Amino acid sequence: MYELLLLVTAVGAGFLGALLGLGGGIIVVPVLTLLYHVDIRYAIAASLISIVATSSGAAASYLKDSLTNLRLAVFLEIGTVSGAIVGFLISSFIKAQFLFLLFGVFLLFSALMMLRKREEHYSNHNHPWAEKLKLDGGFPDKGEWRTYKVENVPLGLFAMFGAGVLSALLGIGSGIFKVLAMDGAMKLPIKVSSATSNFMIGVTASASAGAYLLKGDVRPEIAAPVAVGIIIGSFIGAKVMVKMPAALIRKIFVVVLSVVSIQMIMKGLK
Amino acid sequence: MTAGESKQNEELHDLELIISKLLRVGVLCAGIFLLLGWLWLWYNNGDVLSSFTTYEPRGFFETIHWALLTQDRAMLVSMVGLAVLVLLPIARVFLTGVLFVKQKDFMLALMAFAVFACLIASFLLGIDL
Repeated sequence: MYELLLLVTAVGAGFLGALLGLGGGIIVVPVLTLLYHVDIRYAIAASLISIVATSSGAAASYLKDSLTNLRLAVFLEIGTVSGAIVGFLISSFIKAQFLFLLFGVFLLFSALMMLRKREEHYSNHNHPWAEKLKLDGGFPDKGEWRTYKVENVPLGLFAMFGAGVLSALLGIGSGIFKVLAMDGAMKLPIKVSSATSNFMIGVTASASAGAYLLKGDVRPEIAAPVAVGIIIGSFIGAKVMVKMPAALIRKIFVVVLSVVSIQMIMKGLK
Repeated sequence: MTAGESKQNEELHDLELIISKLLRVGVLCAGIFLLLGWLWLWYNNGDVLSSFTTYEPRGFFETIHWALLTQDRAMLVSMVGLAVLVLLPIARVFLTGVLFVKQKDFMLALMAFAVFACLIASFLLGIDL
């Protein structure tokens, strides 16, 4: 019975994730640990598998949008993947308690970030690395073609490394940090940084998902219903997105996140 | 644009379409394997979720080995689903590298292959030393 309930919860997580533009990880890990009392390591591994599933599906349609900056994505993936390797290596030395604490803090931070209003940037000068690697680009915006340049490339790459570490440690896509680095530091337009971040998430997650799979943290009894549920949920979510009051759901979700974050921290302090 | 260039562009576009199709078909296949494997496991073993409250990892190859010995086909099907899923982004990165080579953009190709190598290294780290 619990197994079926898990599938239903995962559908809900995928649905909500697609609606709010979040990965499912932020929802799946607390649900698995707090509600189903699954060990946090299994929860993290299952969450990473589901992230790989949804983002590979999403990456398939990157051709259509022309928002994804493929060159920049490949360059920054070096940072996220090496970060994920480091995260995986540290994870074996970290106590479950500390993972709860870290996750709680991450949730609180995510809640704050969801309240933030993202500022639109159009930079007009390139960092030398961006110039050399031709990382700048353009995209269609309201019928006209807009070009943008890329600043602060080394800082962006370093932030991606951090995003990779957190992704492997906490079983999240860490899209929040990727977007923060891309619109905050590298001054990319919002649409471009969101699309490019989504495109990179699958590769980042697969680095640690593969390692956890071989190590034995991925249990199909948990990972399969979660991944299947999230695929179905995010598919439905993407279809009905336009008809839902996203702003209201967002506000409710910020409150839920804060409550869950406190619970995760409490569990970590026990 | 010369005729040669447009032909090359067409080839690149075809490769991009192949990557896109591979990802889509791959996710679908992995999803079906996972769903079937999970239902089958559930049918065989019933509810086992409560046994995951404590952490006892069992390596991928050990699990496969056991599943082969005990003829646990449900477990094998689920594991194939998981493996396919995790390998998809790696295939994507590799093919992106090939794409850049065809575009004669060797710097970016080198980076794509570096990411590819890091991914393989990361996987190998998961094998118990």
